Amino acid sequence: MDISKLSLFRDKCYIDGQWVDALNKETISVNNPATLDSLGTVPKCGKQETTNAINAANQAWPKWKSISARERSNILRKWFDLIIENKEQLAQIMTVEQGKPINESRGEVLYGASFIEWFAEEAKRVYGDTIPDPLTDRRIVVIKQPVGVVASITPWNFPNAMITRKCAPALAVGCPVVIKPASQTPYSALALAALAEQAGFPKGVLNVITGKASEIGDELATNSIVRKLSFTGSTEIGKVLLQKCAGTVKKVSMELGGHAPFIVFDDANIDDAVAGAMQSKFRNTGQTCVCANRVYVQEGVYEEFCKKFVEAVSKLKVGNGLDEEVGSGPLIDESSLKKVEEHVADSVQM
Amino acid sequence: MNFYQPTILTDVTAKAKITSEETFGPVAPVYKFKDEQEVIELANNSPYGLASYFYSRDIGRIWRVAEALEYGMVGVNTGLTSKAEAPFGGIKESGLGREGSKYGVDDFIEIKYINMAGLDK
Repeated sequence: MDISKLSLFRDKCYIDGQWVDALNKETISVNNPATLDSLGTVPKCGKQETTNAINAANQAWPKWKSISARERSNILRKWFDLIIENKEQLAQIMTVEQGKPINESRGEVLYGASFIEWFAEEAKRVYGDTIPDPLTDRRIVVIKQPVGVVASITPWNFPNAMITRKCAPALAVGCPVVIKPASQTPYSALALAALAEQAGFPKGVLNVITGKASEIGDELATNSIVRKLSFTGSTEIGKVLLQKCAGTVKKVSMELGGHAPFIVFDDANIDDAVAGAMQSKFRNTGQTCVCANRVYVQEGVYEEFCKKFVEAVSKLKVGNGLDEEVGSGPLIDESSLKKVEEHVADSVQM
Repeated sequence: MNFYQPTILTDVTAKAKITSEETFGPVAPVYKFKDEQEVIELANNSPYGLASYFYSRDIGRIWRVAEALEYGMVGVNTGLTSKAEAPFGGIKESGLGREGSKYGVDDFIEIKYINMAGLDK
């Protein structure tokens, strides 16, 4: 499937309301993990383009925070509607660049959009407080204000929903955003930006920059204009970003690694437990931070659970996610595959 | 090609890497346990604290285990908990902050205190 023909395909960055190349015109290639074919390129931006995006966001901030919450809510709602209208195209782009089965991609587009719908509504409910003052001629008032320019660094496993989950609340309360999507899955991010442009976000309010992860990440984490960094990714990288953010005491949100236990007690409904384990473990080919990583089964139901679990897993069809029958797509890249092989070999040896 | 056949591993030992490291792939190690206390200790023996899941139909056990698991999210009789209405996030080395839900806006807001004085003038 040639996604470059799709109307939402963009292979440039979206900065200050413009679709732009890297300053030196360099690019990076994006591949389909199911076929290893090249899907195209995106700009290989670095520090300077990141600074430009941050400055654009900062310039857009005064107006974005001072329009009414209802106006911001209406633009978010329009973005949501456009995403729903273009659900199939967004799902196709996602499957081709990320590998997940097309039905999971459709699910993620809806899940991602649900955050925009939710925060479009929450935008109108940023309530403050009044507090009795111990002195009779005074009153205490608490108001809530947007933190300022927000940087979002998002992962390849949920190329759409991790962007909307971070950006929708930021935009709703009046913060402009600079988004750095994962290099493996930039087209889902750029397609969302194309729809944001149609929805009518003023220029500079939403920016997407692709390129050198460490250089862009460094600038987002150290530039004093950025007041908040929200990251989803590995614990290892999260710790590095936290250290860098300490220099300017940025607010941070970190959604890092997990190692989810999945426990089945003797009194469980075993069929339900098997169905849950399949969803939790094998969704997105096991590449989510909430995937079950350790399945603990109580001795009374161990044999029964294992038998039914094996039966269910053997029905999973592995292949290209564009095939509607496929339940397990490729891993994102060769190093991910190597890690899985190493874990299995190590477990079998022990 | 980066395909891997979904795999279940039984009789995995505590020493195996897969017991302590995130695999990020289609492999499920299965372990046998005896009682509730043992499995809570096994489950909590991790620097991570994002999602956890358990299956039981006993109301007392459900409350005990849900409260004892050191995780930001607990799925009881479900393997899928993510939704816009609920707070997503982890404890320990799984992160800071919550995304989604009514709490999701707090991460992008500063609280400002204004003291209004001189109201008697």
